[in-house]
Amino acid sequence: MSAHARPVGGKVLTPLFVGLLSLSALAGILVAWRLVAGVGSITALTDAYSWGIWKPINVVTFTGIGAGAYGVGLLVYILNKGRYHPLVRPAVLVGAIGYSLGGASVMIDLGRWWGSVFLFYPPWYNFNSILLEVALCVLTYVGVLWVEVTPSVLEQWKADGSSGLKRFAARWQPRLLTALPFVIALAMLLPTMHQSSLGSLYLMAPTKEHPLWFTGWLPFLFLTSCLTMGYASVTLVDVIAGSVLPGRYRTHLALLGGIGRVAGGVSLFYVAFRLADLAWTGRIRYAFQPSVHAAFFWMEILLFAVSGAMFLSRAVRSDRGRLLVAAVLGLLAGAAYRVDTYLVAYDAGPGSRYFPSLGEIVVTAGLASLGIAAFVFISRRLPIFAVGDTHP
Amino acid sequence: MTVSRRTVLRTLALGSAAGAVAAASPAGASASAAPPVPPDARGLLYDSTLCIGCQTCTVACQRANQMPVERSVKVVNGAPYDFPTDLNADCRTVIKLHEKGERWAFVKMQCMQCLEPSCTKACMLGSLQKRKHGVVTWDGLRCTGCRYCQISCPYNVPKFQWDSALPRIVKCDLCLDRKDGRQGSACAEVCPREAVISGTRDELLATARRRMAESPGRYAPRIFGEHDGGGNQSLLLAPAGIAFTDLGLPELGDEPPSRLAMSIQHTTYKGFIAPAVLYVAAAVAVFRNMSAERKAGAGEGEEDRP
Amino acid sequence: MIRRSPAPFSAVSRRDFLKVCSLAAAAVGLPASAAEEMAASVRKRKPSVVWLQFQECTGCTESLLRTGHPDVAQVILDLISLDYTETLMAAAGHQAEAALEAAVKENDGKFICVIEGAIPVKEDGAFCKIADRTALEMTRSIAGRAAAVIAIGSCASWGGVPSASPNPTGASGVSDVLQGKPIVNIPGCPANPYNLLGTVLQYATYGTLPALDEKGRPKFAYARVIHDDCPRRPHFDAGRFVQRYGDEGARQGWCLYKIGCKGPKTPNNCSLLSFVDTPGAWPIGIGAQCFGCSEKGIGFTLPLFSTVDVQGPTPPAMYTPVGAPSGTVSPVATGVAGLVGGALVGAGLAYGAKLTRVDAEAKDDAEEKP
Repeated sequence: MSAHARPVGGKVLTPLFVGLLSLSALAGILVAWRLVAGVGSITALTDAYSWGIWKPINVVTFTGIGAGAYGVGLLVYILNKGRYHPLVRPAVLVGAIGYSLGGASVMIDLGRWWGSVFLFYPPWYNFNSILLEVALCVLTYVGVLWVEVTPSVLEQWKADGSSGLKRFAARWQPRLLTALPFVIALAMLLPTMHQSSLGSLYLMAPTKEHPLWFTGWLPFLFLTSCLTMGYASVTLVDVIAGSVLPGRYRTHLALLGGIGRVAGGVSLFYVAFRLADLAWTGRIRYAFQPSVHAAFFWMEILLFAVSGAMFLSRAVRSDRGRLLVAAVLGLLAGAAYRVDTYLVAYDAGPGSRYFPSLGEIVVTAGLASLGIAAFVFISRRLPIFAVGDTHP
Repeated sequence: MTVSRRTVLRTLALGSAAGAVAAASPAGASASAAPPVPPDARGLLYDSTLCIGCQTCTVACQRANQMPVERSVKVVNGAPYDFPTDLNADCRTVIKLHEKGERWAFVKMQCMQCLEPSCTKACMLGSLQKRKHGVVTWDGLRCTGCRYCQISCPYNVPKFQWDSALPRIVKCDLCLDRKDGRQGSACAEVCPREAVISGTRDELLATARRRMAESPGRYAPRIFGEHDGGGNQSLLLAPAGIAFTDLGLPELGDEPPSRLAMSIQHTTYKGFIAPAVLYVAAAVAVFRNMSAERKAGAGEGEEDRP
Repeated sequence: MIRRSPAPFSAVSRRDFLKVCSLAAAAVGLPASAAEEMAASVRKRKPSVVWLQFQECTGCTESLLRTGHPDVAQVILDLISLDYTETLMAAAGHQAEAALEAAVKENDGKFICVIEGAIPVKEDGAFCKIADRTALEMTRSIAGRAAAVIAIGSCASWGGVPSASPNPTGASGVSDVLQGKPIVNIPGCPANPYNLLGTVLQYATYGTLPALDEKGRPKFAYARVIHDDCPRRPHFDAGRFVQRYGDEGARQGWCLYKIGCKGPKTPNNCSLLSFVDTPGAWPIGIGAQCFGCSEKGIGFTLPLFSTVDVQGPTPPAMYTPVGAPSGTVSPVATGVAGLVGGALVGAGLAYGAKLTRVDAEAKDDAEEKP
């Protein structure tokens, strides 16, 4: 159980850490400039492409990576596979950070960000709005995820805090544990809703989405791909943690093998389902017409198929290096599907085009490095990883 | 435990099946009625065969709504061009040209005032709504600047002030809120040829039908916006032999473009039953699993680790 | 022979003469050197011209005589031998008839017949008779023997005012009643005398007629619509229209399209060549809409205030195409994105490969040691 988790400890201000922070500081400067000069000042966004990479990468892909908490949670709490418990805390932390970054990106991206206070004013809710559902779900889920992180905090305070903190932790820990099932149930429900709705968003643009991507199954495919991304990100984190903490943390190869089987199965299911849907409606013909869209489509399918097949292969699952490659490809597959749905498949009309500006890329990279830095910092200070465990 | 697990799986399956049914049967969704026409619905009728491309409408629109006149010089057809090339945050209506071989036609772009707009469905807090005369107007207080309206609008009408720290969404509101103290749509007021006229939807439809009947063979055989996308309040007539798609208009069919998304979304979330059931099932499962685990894990480290 | 009092005309200097010839040459679209040739040819053989007047107001003749440049009429009269013209000739009655007969007989098949005015065809043309001969008869017998016919003014070109609905006399243009002759139509109400001068000079100098369009009009004058070169065109392009007479726009000289200007559908060179050589002396110049006097189906036909289609052989290039490109792609950003993405994926894959290698070595070591 998670009782084994201990803070990683060690020096915080490593050169890597400083590098990550300075990149995010650069992004911060750009964001400050954007607040003064408008969204258009640092982005290549136009009225035709009004959502750039900040949506599909910062929001949709970051939360996809963060969906590890959802995926592992499903296994542990719903399907009662308790043995995956050691993977939960890192996954929840990745999720909390990923979703927070997603939320932050939305705030940067929102033209009238101050107006979002009215997201807490139900009389104005437009229940037709898929985006409203996503926004409320993600907002709530960010809270839920950080609540899920609090046991680590309380544990740390209890073990190594001042007397006041100790008392606080002792008082609140049991209550939190009582409430936790209901919070966790929420943590299972919300991603089911918003990860699917991230796909539903583009159901509103039937004339603009390429037929290879536009399908009534978009929500289902987004839900499926969030699972593969989540499992891939859990695998990635565990393999990297094992390799950067030699002797102190051993990658849970056997657990990852189990996760990999699920991830591989879901990936291949995704491929089969998507091809079947396209074949059923006849839209598969677009995949065989030479076009940029077809190329991107096959690239996605290939990534899903290759990563899925790798996850299912015994030789891969027993080798952390190959597992890492499979995880990278799996993340890439999910990211590709999501970015393609939001950008490549989206066409606002002849002549409209978009490529992220340098500013957008820097902000995205800065947020990503902020996330990594936060993860490193928190895992050094709080019991996230089962460090020092001696398992074979 | 297996019971709860099965329950959960079943609920999950149910939820996605509901969405699936809605998704797989757009035909079933189309059985629903055409959107209602507001009793005082107003709009514009644009007649491409009468338009001479003088762009007075654009100028008058900018003047009536006190919008800055675009001065930036762009290159169009290899020549410098200092007029708006497209709808943008400073331009709510614009004349564009379709040219294919010998045939050519002008098209006026502005908000179509759909009877069932996608933008109002997309808008999170109801900033864009059909208000007086069925005109879609923007309420700054309720807008978060998410620009989902731009994604969802099939005509690419709502425009965003990209270079402003306090950006607004700009779109045609039929001059309901004219800044120069006059009444009526400025574009229709100044048009030298009645190529664009304003009126109630019924009047416009009658005028369009009359023009088509008076000059057989002059017009494309359909009034764009009568049924397209569930119908619009602003209508368009094209010259014979020119397809509406050539004029940059989308092919929508008679369904509002948001119907599929709405049917999937509203089926899945009908009465919030599916999410509630899912939550209860998840809570039961989590509670059972966790308490069982806690009991079993009284002695630590019992998870089946490899 | 008709001879006008020579006194005022002999005062024309060679220099003035050349000036007018240059103007005419430019109007016809001939090279500047043509003026010299024109001037030279005037001294030689003069083509005989018979000028007939039927259902008309004499406005075309009057405007010829009232050009801003005082010498035009004289140039024309110097250039040609005007053997019969009712307005200008001193002769009358039988004397005039005899002159006409003599001119036609003398230059049979070689003279130019200028016709001013429409020809009534109803009731065998009984509505217009000169010396007991109908206009119809005269056209067939006199113009039928000419080398070429110049129909001056809208009346002679296609019917003009007399043909306005309901056209009780059946007023028609020359080309409606006469076939098999080269006919040059110079419509206008009245026609700009320079267009006549250009045509006549070219015939007198080279013996040829100017290139004609499908309606028999010289292309040099009627190839473009008035709107194309209108001095008020910038106002049209900018969308500044006179809404009604005397309004602010009218005082500012804005475009008259909206109050029914027919310039966009009327081919003529009014906007390029001042009428009777007097700047501003034309409808648009004085703030009135063009009413399409020279164009059949428009002038005397359409209501004054109704607007017309704006036509052109090709649409103006200055419009945004329906699918105009938008958005920019920064090459730097493209490169950076490629680098970042490639580096991340590459690093991931390389790191995986390294881990595999490390593990394999560790395994080998472990196997070797025991």
